[in-house]
Amino acid sequence: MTDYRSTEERLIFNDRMQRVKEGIHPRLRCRNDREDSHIEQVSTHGLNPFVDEFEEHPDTPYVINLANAIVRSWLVTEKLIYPHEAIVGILRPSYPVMEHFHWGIIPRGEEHYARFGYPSEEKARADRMASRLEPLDWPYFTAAAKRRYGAAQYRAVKEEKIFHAGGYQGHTIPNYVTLLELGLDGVLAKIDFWAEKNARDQETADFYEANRIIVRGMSAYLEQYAAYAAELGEAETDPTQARYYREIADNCAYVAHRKPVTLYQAIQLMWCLSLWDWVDCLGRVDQYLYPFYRYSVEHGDVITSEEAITSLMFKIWEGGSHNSTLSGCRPEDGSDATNELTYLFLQILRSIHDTHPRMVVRIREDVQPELMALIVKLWSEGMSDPTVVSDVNVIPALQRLGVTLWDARDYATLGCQEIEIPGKSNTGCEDGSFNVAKVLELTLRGGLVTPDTGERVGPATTPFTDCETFEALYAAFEKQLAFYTEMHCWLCSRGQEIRAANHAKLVKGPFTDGVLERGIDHDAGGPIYGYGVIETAGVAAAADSLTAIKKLVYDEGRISRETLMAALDANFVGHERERQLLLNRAPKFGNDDPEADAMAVRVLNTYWNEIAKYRSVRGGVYTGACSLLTGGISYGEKTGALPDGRCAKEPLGNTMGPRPGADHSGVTAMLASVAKLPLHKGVGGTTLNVTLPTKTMATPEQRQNVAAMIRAFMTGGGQMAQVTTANLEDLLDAKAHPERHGDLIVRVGGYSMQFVQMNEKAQDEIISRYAGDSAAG
Amino acid sequence: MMEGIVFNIQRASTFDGPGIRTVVFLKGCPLRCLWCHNPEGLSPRPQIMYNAARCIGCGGCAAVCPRGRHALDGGVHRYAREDCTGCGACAGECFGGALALAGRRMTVEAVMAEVRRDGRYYRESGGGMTLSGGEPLAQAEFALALLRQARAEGIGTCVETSGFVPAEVIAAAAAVTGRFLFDYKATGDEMHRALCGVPQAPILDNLARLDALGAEVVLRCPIVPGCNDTDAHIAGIADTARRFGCVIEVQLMAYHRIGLGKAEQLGGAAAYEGQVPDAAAMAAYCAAITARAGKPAGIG
Repeated sequence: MTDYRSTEERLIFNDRMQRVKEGIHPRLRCRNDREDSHIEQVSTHGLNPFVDEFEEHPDTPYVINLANAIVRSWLVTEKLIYPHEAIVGILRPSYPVMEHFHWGIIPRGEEHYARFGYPSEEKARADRMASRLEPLDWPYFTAAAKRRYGAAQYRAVKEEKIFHAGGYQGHTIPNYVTLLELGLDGVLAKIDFWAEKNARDQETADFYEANRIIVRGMSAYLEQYAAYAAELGEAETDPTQARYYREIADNCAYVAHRKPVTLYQAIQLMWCLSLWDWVDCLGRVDQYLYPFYRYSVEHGDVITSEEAITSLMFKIWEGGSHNSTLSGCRPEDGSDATNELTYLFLQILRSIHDTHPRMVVRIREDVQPELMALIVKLWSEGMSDPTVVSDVNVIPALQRLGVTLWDARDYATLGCQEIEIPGKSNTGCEDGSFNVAKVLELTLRGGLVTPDTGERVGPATTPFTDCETFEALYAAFEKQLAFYTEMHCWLCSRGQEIRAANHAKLVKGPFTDGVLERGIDHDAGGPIYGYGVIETAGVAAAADSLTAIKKLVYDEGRISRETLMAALDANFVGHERERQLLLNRAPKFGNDDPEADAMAVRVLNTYWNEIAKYRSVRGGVYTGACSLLTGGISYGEKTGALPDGRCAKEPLGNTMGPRPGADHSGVTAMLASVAKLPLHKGVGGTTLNVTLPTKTMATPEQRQNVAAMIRAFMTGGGQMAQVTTANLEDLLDAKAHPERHGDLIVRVGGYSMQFVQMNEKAQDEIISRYAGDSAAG
Repeated sequence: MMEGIVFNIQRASTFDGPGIRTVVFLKGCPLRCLWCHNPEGLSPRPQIMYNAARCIGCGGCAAVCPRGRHALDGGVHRYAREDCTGCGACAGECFGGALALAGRRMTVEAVMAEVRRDGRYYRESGGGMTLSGGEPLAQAEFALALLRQARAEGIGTCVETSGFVPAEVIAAAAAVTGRFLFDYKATGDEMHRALCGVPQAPILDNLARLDALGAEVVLRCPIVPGCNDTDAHIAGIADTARRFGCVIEVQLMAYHRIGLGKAEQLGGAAAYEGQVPDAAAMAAYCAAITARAGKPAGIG
């Protein structure tokens, strides 16, 4: 039997699974890239089920039409079963109107139509029907914003890109436990029970009916697949493949109504919900599948447990899921939840060796050494998955937000590494994002004045040049921050209203605790937890800028306020000496420097305390997050020169770490700095990118060191880490742009060295070594 | 208060002893190895390193140099190293980092304050502090004070040494050092003098001393093509490893050219410029040494 804990033995897929794997390659990227994807193969035969449904039923309540339209779209989509597959069901084609139920708001404009391959004749029809398809739309948002803040102010804030409000709002994990324990008919019975209990008005009755339509639709979808597989089985001449088809038919037919018993059945049923949920995030797969795994191991199953789990992983891989979560605590007593499936999922991930599926492992204080070893082994093989997240940090932090201990122990990550309670929450992940560094830039100039009309936007505060003390400047920063935070949270809440009115996540309703019990939609506050999540950008840049100002201007008097502002206005052109002073004579966050780190803590506290004053429409306060994957770049493009020595338009840095290139004291110092931050106030999820040289993971002893380092961070104040190994491209970029890669450490010989500190000759030598490694490996 | 001259403190090292370590580089070395990769560690005194590529031509250095050794010649910086006392005034004004002072005076407490920061990581990984250089034991009193203090605080200790130090120093170090990373660079006195500028006998005597004292030693051997990549030397490494029971492992260190750039920045004579040994040859040496010594040999 394969030892799934082994870091030396690799999992080898059996013939059937290997052939499925080979079949997936040509149809990957199915969501966004129409070339070579199965979107070419499946179709709705030119039908637009959404528009059809609303056109045919002009007098039916919105929510009923919507439920029927969703079901119809799945049922009219051609069925497709690939050879050797065991689990069936694929994503349907993306059309803009369908995306309404993905994003909650219909994306408009030629760009979107083109992107989703919307048939031109359908375009006009959809536009005509727009007001029927979504009761509230983006113009509602814009009008509300202009009413409250004035047109000029709203426009200026948008143009300056101080924040983005209304974001995605809705990665959640459905309650797979409910689905698997009740089966679809059981869920229908649950709907009936609560519909009767909450029989308060027609609108509520319609809402429950819509939920029934969705669940019955899923049953019908599975029955369609059962019939189609049986049909294929009849026609198939190859006896093995014919058997596969019969097994699929039986499996789909069984779970179309009944609750699953075996692992194979459980996985087919959960995959059906995952598909209808647009392959969002799967939550704690190693936990809720475990009882079925035990059953199949003890009593036998149609396919092996390894095949069943592999089939699921392949489906996730093909569908491009965001995240699944492994290990952690049992909610009832906090004991270690790691099991055989934890290891099996990781081994399959290792054998797939791709950027998807994304997996996260929860790290306990007493994490099993074999688990840490396997995680580091995956990193050492060049994968950036799994991400690790700390139970020590997250569980108490969730409790502070009002989450019960039981539920806090059951958390999972999703989306871009946000944290939620599976099956019980909609935290709007994410409701919006905010650029703290931009607000500092505005503060230095006394606030924002529109460049064209000269109109004052937001409060007027004392400009930096008139601030006699550092605290006077910081007070102005707080005032500006308070204004834009209020505006941002208010606008985020308007985005939530649109999604609530549109029942943007209707499919998730029957599978999210609180929705049926309260009779309130998933996006309107039905789920048990409805706190809000604001992604936070530019913290390190803002903090480093304030540290430089405090130290070099106010404490040491090495540069005057006027000279500093002149240098910023000129984007440092003609002020290189000043820029170098700011860059190299003031400490930076990420080096375990008490002064610089204290400033980062202060800035983050200021901002995250501010957002906690506001509540989401769903109920619950806003909390911080920092897992923006590319936000640091796009916000950076709209942020001018800053007193940390950063030139205009340069990236602000991604995730919770230091500004790129600012940390030069070793990875332990960087981790120490991050661990000082009030990450417990960023329960939305605060990722940290950690880049380690490939060579630091070359031997088992070195991998143990990496495991120790990450474990120490995870249990000493850190919340999340994504570890990657440096590769040749990084080195080449570091040579061309040393200012971006102060953190890149390379193994030189008897010691390691900061790559950017080496002369060209030495850099070339290191590059040639990495090039050699790549060629060899 | 006792002070030493330190030219670097590097955190998060995972190559210089077990676990995660902080490496303290002490300045000054009695050897003159042709290929020296840390030439800023040779002189015991603080020195100015000048990296022209980072000069922004601001003239800040010229304004403060007490001896007028810096000048701007048509916007181009000129540095005359003669008579430079290494006072470091210019480096203080060089914000871009073209001029840097290699070596600063530090107290034991100041060094320990840095070393202590990663205590959590040492405990998790079985790591600690490594003294390197230069030859760390050349600043014997200071090095011993650091080792004693670390040990008193429960921080693991390693010393990377050339072994060319007085007998009483190595003996004193052995009492407070968990593991020695002991250099073995040449086989035979003649070869050793030619390549490293000093005789080998005192070094081997010290290795014998460590053996007698029951120390733990990793033999570290730079492989420099054209200098010591001979069959006789490879055999010498293996025989030395076998002869001394204290040697637990051999690490071969491939020659690299990093020292060349640093030597240039120090204004010194060009160091030995050789070929980097190829990976296959290094692997073959490791295999040969492992077989002959009966002890593991790997690439360090």
